[in-house]
Amino acid sequence: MRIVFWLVALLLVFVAQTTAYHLFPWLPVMPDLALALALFAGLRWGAAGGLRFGAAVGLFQDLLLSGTLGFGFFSKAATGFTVGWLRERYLTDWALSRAIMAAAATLADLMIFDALIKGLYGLEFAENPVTLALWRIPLNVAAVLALLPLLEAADRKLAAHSAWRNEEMPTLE
Amino acid sequence: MGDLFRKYLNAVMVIILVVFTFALLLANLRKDSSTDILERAAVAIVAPFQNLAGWTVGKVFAVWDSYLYLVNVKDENQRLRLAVDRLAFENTLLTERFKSYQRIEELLAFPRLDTLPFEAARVIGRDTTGRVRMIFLNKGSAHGVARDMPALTHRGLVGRVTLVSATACKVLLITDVRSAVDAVAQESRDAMVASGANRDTLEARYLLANAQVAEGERVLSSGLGGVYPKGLLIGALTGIRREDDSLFVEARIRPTADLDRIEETLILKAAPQEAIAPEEWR
Repeated sequence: MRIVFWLVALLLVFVAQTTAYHLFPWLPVMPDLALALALFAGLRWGAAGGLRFGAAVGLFQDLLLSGTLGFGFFSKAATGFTVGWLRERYLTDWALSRAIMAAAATLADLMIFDALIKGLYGLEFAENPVTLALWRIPLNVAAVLALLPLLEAADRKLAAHSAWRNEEMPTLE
Repeated sequence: MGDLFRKYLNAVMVIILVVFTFALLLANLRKDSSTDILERAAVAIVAPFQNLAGWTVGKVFAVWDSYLYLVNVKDENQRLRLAVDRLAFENTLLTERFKSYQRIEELLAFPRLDTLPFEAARVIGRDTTGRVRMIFLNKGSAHGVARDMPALTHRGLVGRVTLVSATACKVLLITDVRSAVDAVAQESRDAMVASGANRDTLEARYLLANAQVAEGERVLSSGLGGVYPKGLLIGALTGIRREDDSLFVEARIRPTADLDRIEETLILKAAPQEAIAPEEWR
């Protein structure tokens, strides 16, 4: 049941990602909501859970949007894993540490995309990923800080439900 | 054994991640039918929700726009815009046809774009992360849409269909870094390749140093390359730079279609070969 819930959440996130421009037509790009999901997975379920859910998010992103498999898969799985690994050792639940994670993940995501598109297609991404990241970071940080509490609340409700308690998803709490 | 595995669990996971990524990247190169099926499935799953979201937002905005916000002006403006779009499109076609007739009097053989079958489609989603430039349309194989069909508006070329599910399709915009359109300048007839660069403008590549192009000159598809039929308006040249020691002129092309705001588009329901087939020419 819990897996079904998170698959539906993943679906809704991508629907929102691809249709939110109706509501915010003045924004040239939208925050990367899939990145928020990968971050959440790492923070909530540790390295292994972050890797698994991040990989699922990234693969779906690849299939739905870019049509080039591997880019989002690697980026989001690595994000989930790294955040989970850091969470198990160093990270706190402070908003600042989450904001830093979101900023670093945004930069890493763009650099991975840049490196892979160069390596696979021999194409140059339009702008320097670092320059791009500078104005995408605030958007992604805002989205992560807004979305994470909602996702955590949903996860807590699921965990509280007795029927879902025995599922395998590891939790740090 | 279990302890050893747990000890190196993170390293094992990283190795698995790298191996899977490598396998997926290889799958791109092969681009077999299994990945195509998965992509189609992803689009098929998301498209109905995108349709619903677009419809809901559209209805809410329609109430505001039509009943609360300048009812008559809004309607009139919309009519006029459509008229301007249509006239601009017709003007492009007529100018291009006139120039072609002038050049080759005997050859009255041009693709009649206005007589080819079009399928009107609504934009139901788009990539908003800026990493790729693509849109989702609410028409698919059930409506006769197929891969590689060009999508355009009255203002100009939008892109080409890259993936089709039963009721939706994905269109790669001409501004995407993976897009390249063989093109020609309308006045000077200089050839170039209009390449996407994940920016709002395209790069005009391989424009020879002796090209007579001018700022603002229109760029049309040349019909070469096998995807886009001849004569589709791509955009206007801008930022032309000539350097003495370079073989090529540097220039950019500003798309005439407003790719960031398109809500409806036309899919040219003819394979490129059909579009320029002799029986379609006049």
